[in-house]
Amino acid sequence: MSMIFGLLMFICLVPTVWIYFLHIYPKQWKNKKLIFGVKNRQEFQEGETAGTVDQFVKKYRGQALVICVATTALSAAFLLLKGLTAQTAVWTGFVMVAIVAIMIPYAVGNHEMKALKRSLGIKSEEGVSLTDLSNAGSVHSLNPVSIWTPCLLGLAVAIVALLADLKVLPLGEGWYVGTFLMTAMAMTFAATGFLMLVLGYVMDRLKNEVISTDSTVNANYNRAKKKNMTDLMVLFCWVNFVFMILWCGSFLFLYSDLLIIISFAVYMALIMIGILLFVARSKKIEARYEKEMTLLEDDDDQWILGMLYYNPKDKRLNVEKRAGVGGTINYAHPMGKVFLAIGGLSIVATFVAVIFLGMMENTPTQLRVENGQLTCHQIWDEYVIDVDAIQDCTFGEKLSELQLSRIAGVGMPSLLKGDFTEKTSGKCKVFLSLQSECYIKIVTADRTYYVNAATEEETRAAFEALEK
Amino acid sequence: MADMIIKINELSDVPIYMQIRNQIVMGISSGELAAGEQLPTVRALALEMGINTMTVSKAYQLLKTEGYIMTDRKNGARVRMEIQKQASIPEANKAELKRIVSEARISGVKKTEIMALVDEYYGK
Repeated sequence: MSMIFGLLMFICLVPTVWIYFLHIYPKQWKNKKLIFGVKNRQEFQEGETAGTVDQFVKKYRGQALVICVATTALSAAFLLLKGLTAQTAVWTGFVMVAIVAIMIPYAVGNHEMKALKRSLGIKSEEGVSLTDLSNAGSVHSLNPVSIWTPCLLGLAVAIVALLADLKVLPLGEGWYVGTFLMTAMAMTFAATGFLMLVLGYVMDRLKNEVISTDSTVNANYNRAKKKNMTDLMVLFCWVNFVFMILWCGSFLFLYSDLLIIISFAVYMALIMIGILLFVARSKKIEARYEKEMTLLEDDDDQWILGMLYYNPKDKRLNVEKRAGVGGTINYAHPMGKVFLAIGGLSIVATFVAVIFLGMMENTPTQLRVENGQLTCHQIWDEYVIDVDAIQDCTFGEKLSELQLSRIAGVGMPSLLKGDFTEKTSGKCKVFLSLQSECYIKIVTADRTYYVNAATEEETRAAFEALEK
Repeated sequence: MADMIIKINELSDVPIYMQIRNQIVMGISSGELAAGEQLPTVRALALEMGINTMTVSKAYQLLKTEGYIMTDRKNGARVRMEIQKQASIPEANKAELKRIVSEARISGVKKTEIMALVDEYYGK
């Protein structure tokens, strides 16, 4: 399980850093629109200055290459880590470190380029913006049918899943039907599809860049760029929908945790391939319009480190990214500040979640029999069973013989806690530390419990106290 | 649709709505904006420029009052087919022209150079 989780993270992280490398550290800078987030201009291409820029590009591209290779090697090494908590903790930290690390040479390069620009006496035309009157609000490439279709079909699948779980539709016989796991999954993916749809529209409505005095060139250039972006979103929506169908099918007819995780890895791999295609097409578009770029809108100073757009004078929330793929937000916009706060909180929440996961895995489970009650305790979770309500109580020696499948709750390599099904008992409550091989099966009038403590001695002591 | 580039400087002393107004007037004069040509909607232009819709609306309102464009709910804004010809320069513009010519004279610009510019902007 932890190996598959690692593989999933590997599939997401390694292509991401290489995509960044290919996209923001080009070898041939002279024909590129941006050099480390600073607009390329004629002055950079002349005499000694061109040599200086060459040095910057070589230096920071080299550093980025080292970071990419190191990230790939370390990611491969992390696949060998044992234990889900260890994998989760290491990957969570490493993903953030790797993403920041790959941007460091870019940020330093941006700083150097801005300094070079100043040394050449080039002043940014602060506050100056160009707008092509003929293209204002009229350059779009998103075909609504192509993006709405997978989203609406996905919604239909989610509704079917809900009806199947409510047993209104007689689909499948698996025990998962009625647990609403399939509905939760389908709804999540339907929501993801609609998020992509919103992003598609946002990208289609990005400000048109003015690169030429010829409006037709501007329109074609922006249309090509927007088509590339919206095609990516449409691809996401279709991949999302196809996998939703596959997963719902597997819930109904062929459920397996392993199958779900492997298919999720394939899903992520397809998305990564989509992003790679996007990058390749972006490069092609830039190369196609390279000679027609005669106008330069210089807002370099509004881009902090060439990555974060901060322009209080700009009323737009979304702008095209300089480093990376798609769009970003104007952090000076009130909503931009809200997104920034949400992003910051998400990072903190991720680390809190990893700490919590570690606590769950490493805090021993306890069983106590006192005041006529059996209490199963771990961290702040407590299952309390009245001893008087127990109809049958048996001691099991071989935990590994139980065939448990999780409905809701915790399913870690060292701990099972929550609602499960067991092959012979059906639905049951589980509170089991997998560090111990023995367990107690408790049957009450309304449900069956499988519980144990972290050690065999404690479990046996609890069982003996119950028997008394 | 109109075929011209508008350049806005947010740090200029000239208000943004006036910069839009001025550049549209210059576009009409130079022929970049033909008579009857469609202008973008207030919303589309504001979104494209990253400015408030009220600013664009104010510029359009001014252009409409001055008789350069006409607006209606159905068709949006268009350059007027026939712009009323006053055949005279308003006093404010005369004062502005005087300032420009005076500054040019002080800085040593020859009269012929000024006239050449007038020819270029007005058309021979």
